[in-house]
Amino acid sequence: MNLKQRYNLWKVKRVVNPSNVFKRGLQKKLETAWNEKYAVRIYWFQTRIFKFTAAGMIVVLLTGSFGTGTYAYYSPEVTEGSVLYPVKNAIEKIEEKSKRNPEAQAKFYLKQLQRREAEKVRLEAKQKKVENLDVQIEKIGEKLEQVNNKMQNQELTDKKLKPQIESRLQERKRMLEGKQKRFEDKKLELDQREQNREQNPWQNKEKTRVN
Amino acid sequence: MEKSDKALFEKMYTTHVDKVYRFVFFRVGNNKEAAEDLTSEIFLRALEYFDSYDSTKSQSAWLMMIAKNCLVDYYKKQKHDVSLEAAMADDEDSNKVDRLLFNTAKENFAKAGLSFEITGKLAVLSENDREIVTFHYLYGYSYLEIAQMREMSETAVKVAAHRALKKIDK
Repeated sequence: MNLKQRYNLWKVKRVVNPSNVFKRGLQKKLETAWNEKYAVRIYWFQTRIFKFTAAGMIVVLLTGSFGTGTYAYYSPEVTEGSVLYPVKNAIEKIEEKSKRNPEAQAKFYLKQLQRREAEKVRLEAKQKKVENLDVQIEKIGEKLEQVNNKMQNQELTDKKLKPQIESRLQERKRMLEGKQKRFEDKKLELDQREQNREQNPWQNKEKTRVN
Repeated sequence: MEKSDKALFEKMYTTHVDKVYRFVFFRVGNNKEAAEDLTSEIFLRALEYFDSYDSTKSQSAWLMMIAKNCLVDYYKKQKHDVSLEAAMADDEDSNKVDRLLFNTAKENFAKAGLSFEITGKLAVLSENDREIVTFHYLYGYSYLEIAQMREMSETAVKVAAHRALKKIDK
């Protein structure tokens, strides 16, 4: 078969082709027939509308939760008693776990202390109880001290960190000393009262009788 | 039926639709509508019996068998050729059906003026060689597919095609 004949055959082959419209139509027809014969049942959750809606909802939910989380984390308005406070705590816990080396942990505790203090200021402005916050601040201070002990012989990359930690710990020490002093004063006062009572038992009896 | 079966069928369709259409086209008087109807019927029938198809065997051969059966049915409906009955009388001999199909194609070639000098030259060949040449050069089947259809080795098909071409050149 010479080249001309081969070319002629190739030309015929090229001309005799089914149209794309026909091929697409037949493909659709076959798909329908397949689904009918082999009973490919399409459930509501497999429909395109559902998939698009679900995808949209997931995007909205993710954006919403991400936005809420960010607000909860950064805003000092989110204080104890607020709905978003557990979210804030959860995020902080995760962040705390993610800090591996003592330097990063120290930075985190410093930041956490600042936040708690900001919250305390807000709560005090609203004339609400701040006892729990004080306890938290105390715990964070303790953790900061432990981390600081670990870093004693360590060279820090952030040179400003050490003075910051030290000033914080000094502040904490002062606060603890103040507390200790108040505690001792109170104890002394109570002891004195007790002594007075022991010295004047009649006075006490008299009081009981009057009552 | 699993999802993979559907994918397999879809692949079979996209791979073979052009070849099947060409095979049918030359056997239905170069009639585009009839060729399209028959191609649709062939694939619908393939879908109908797809659960009995052995995926280890050649798709081309399986589809060609369905196509030939559909063409025979088509001719019966059209009462196209009286000799069909004679050919079908001995339906054990599938070569007779093949010969009939080829002759119809040849007539249709001539009718449409598509044959050029080629049909005359193809007539020189034996049925086997003619089928190999037309399937490869006209319908677009590869040597491997033809080998699977005819249960021969690919090399044997290539050699047969080479000899056939040489014969045509003479």
